[in-house]
Amino acid sequence: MTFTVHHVSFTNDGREIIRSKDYAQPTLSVGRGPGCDVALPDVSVPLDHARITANPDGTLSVDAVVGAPFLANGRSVTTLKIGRGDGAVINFGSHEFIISRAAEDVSIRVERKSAVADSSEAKDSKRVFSLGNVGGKMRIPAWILVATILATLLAWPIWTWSNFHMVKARAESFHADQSWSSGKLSLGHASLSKDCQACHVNAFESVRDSSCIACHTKVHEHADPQSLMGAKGEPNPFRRLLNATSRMFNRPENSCAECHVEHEGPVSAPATPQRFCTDCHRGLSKRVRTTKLLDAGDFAKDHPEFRPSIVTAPGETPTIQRISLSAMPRENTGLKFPHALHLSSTNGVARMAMTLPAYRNTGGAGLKCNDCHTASVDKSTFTPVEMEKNCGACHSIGFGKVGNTVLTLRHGDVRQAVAEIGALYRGIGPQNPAGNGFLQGRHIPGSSRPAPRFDVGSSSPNAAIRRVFSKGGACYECHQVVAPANPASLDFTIKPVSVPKHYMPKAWFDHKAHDTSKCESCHSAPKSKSAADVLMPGIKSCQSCHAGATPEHDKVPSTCSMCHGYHFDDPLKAKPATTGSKTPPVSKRPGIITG
Amino acid sequence: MAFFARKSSSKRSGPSSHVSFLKYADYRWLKIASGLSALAILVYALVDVEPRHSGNSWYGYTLGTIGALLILWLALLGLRKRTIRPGQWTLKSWVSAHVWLGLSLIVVATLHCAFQFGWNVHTLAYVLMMIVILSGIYGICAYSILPKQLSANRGDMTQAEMLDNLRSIDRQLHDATQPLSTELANVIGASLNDDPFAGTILARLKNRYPHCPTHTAFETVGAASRNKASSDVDDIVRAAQLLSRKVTALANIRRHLQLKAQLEIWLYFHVPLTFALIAALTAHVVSVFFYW
Repeated sequence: MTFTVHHVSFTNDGREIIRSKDYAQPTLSVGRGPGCDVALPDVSVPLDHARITANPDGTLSVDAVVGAPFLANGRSVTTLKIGRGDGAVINFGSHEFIISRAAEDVSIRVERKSAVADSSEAKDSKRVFSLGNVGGKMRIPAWILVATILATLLAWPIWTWSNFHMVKARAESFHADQSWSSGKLSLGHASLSKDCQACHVNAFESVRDSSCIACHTKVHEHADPQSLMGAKGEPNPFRRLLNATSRMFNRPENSCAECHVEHEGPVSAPATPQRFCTDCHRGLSKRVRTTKLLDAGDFAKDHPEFRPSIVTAPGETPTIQRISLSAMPRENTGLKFPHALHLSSTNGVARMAMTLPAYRNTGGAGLKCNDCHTASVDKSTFTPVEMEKNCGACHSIGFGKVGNTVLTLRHGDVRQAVAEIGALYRGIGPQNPAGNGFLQGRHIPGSSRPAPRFDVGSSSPNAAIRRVFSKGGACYECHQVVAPANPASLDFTIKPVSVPKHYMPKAWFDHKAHDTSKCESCHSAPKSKSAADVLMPGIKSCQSCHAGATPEHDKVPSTCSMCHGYHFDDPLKAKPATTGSKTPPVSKRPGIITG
Repeated sequence: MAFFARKSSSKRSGPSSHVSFLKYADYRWLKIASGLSALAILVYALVDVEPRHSGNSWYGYTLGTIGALLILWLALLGLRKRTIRPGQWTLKSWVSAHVWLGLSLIVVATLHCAFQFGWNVHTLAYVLMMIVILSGIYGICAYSILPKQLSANRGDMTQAEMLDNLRSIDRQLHDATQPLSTELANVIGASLNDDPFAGTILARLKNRYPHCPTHTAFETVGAASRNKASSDVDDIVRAAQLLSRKVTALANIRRHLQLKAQLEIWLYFHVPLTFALIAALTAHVVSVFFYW
């Protein structure tokens, strides 16, 4: 019975070296200690670890000496019985024992399976010292990030777009393409913030005017396209380059979106920049020879004098001319109304006004502008002056009394007035016409004396009618009377009153924004002795407070859009928006499939 | 003057010189990047863009195009540094251009977006770009400061020599442990089996290894060595001396690992986020033209 122990080691190039030793003894001691038969230079092996004993019956026993276990065929044990003729694989620490049998002899192959120390194992110094050794591959997080971003911020929004393309409206919930929004929409369009496709209809196509017109149905062109192109003139090379680039990227010129830039934050639609106006209107007459418009640039430096619409001949179809205020125009509205007389604080008008119930005990002296000019509901302008309401308190057109009831002529109806006076004299009206003030002569407002007395005794109905339409008469006092060609006729007519609704229809003006100023600071009404005076203030009056686009000290920077609109005809309906739309727009997409 | 500058730079960029990538060619790329930034700011201040500056204006698109091309070119450094080739465009010149033009991207991109930010893909691209640039700035600082400390720490040794030194100590320690008791052999065995390079990124960065088996072994064996009554006290003392040497060698290696970690950690943000940035940039550009 012999134990043959083969110690196996390897050269650097992997060649196996085997040193064998025979032990002709029944028991073999295994351990780290130098006294052991099989001494293992292994710190994980106790000094005296185990005994391998050849039993008489041909079996082998392996027993741990100090109780430290060993691995036998992969299991941790402290004792092992190996049958006759059988082999085994046992691990003592880092060493592997392969026990095999040859007849009665036992062969044990001993091989160290791991290095003496971790550091002894093969290590690439460049790799182990690098952070990459423990940090892992950067590629993995990089590709995860790339995939996540492309999926959530590119693929998903495109999927959303395709899902809702040409669909009437999108649900009021989150849609992935909202992540593409470069900024909040203006207040007027805020309700469309979840419906990108209300404006962005087709992929890789800029917002088309059709999207805007779908909702903004009443907006019209500023001028005919041909004139617009002419007004712009030949673009400079840089502008040509920009235009060509825009076209290349499917972004046509002169679109709504070119001026109305969106996604600029939750604000009101911003005022149109001055450049959009002055690019065309400065030097316009040189480019568009047929235009009646005057060249205009910056308000402070390059704006013509105002040209209000002046009525030069009243009538059913009055003659209205735009005349520059520098030409000192005279207007003819059909009315005789000296503002100075009515605004005096010392004359008869003032005294008469003080007798009116509304003026008693107010301490006021004379009439004020707002006694006749009533502000509109939004205070931006004034309601038309009405005779009965604004003039009638002083300018009575009463012509008799029934008891305490004053009979008045029908204002605005000449035929009716003639008939009523005639009826009075024919005895079918109020009795004793000579006894009422109307025919006795009357105080004209603004005059301290009564008008010349009417010759009651000798008058006829016809004379009384003529008197009404003649100098000193009730109608003549304020109106232009057209006497009949035949002196015997009573076919008097009154020239229609043609007071302009708006003197400057190409601009708007908000009186409310100017209510800290006195009326006369702009309108020289207190000095106007004739109704022919045009009381519109000239540009210098405005320029005393309003600068151009460039800010000036103590002046309000004022671009074109402060007074002028681009799309609107009626200035009274087109003031610059100061707040968002109260009725949020509903998407109305052009060319969509409905239902 | 420019001719002399080029001549001077080509001399300095030779392999024997030690001009940093920041100063490469007499700060050529700093000058170019500063010029680009100054021009971008000047034009931004002077041009009349209505209603206000934004990425949607002609100038915004111009800066956006420049910025996008810059980003893609800067990212190509990753490919360039893997390609060894001769020529005037040395890797150092690439790195110098990468650093300075990368910094100018802060100006170009910020003016491109005209300071408009939001919770959207566009700002995401900007934020990712800024993180990439900031991590790059950290990298510049790290490469300016840490190599000197690395050199001072390892003395004349190379990394391979530091590893060999440890191996040598471990072999000796292994041999010295053979006669020792099982108890001491076990604690030393734990030290021998410990991988000095197995610490986490955080452990490397902080240089903190709280349950270091070598320190435990050093303390245990050191305590045993002071017991003069022990029969194998000489063997124990020898093992303790070797453990002491190992502790010192390990401290050196770990400090080296810390400095290397500090030198490389920014790349873990710089590189993956560059990929993320390119993805976000793609989404940004496509979205702009998709919803044009």
